[in-house]
Amino acid sequence: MRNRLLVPTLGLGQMVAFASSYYLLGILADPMARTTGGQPAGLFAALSAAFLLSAVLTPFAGRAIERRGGRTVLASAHVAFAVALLVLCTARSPFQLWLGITLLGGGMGSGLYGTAFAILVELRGTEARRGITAVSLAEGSDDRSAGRCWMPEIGALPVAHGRWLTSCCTCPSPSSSCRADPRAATSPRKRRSRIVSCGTERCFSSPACSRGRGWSRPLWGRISRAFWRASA
Amino acid sequence: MTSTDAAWAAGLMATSAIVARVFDLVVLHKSHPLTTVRLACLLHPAGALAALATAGKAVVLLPIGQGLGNGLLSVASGVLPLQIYGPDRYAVRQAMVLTPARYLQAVAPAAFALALDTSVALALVLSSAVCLAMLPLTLGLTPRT
Repeated sequence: MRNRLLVPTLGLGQMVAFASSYYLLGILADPMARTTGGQPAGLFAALSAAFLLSAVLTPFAGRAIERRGGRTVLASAHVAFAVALLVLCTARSPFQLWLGITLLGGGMGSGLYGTAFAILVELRGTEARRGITAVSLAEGSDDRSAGRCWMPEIGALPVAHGRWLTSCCTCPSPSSSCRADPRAATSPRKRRSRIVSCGTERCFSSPACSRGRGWSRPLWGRISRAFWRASA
Repeated sequence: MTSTDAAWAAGLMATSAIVARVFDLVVLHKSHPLTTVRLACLLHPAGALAALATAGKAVVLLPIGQGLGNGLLSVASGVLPLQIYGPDRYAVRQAMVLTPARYLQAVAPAAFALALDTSVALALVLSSAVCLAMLPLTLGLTPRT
């Protein structure tokens, strides 16, 4: 049963990670700048700096995944996100905002797609393709309406009352709770045995089982089944 | 362009990205990921061409093409290294694929804004040229069966 949770968990983690990095300024830049007396443009420059930092860190993240395993790296990245967001939500000056946004780059280098995909490949090998698509699909539902993703949407409530700080504070808590994902509880040995079981339990995806399914099946049923299979 | 238009365009783009990923999950999963990549390369230029050819009347196709292409590309960036190199040392190779992309990502918004300041057509031709340049790059990658 734990296998079923892998894709939704990684998808949720990516949702939160993207919401609190890429899309954060889409909704919060203006209120942040207003409260601390800075310029939104300056904050976006800080986001570019964060991208740069994440680019510098990416090769190191790749090697760290190989050495320590994807889940350790992903968990550390979420801690980095949480630290950056805490810096942001205690910010009283434009400089501290700038610093917090740049620090997000630390998490972005090792906590986005690349690491989530690497975990899937670690666990499933060449079978990981559908999981990769499903995780990016789950994250994609977060892109909807340009950064007004549901995570800052929760944040938008306090923003409406001029309290963007609260929304920065609420983001790290789900971020860090992603550390409690099912993979964290399994030892490397157990992970290996699950790779084996992944290989034997894939009845749904075998050609014999999928032969009978045509386009007459309602579209939504097909999509949800595809997602479900990818989770397995 | 008002901010409402911008929000609509962004929403359309994101919805198209989801549609593209669902399409990949349901239809393309049996085909080679190179198909996904090549399709992705063509979708943004197609949207840009439609917008330019109709002098902006079909501008709605621009965010749709961009969203579809981008949605497929994020899947392809994960799946293609897996297909070409196999699962061995996947994390390192995936990081090597992502690193140059992230450097470019840091400068892309400023570069695009500069091009946009000169003319909208120039910006669209440039971004389409980048996509079309990717297409011949995929030709050397032979499917491993």
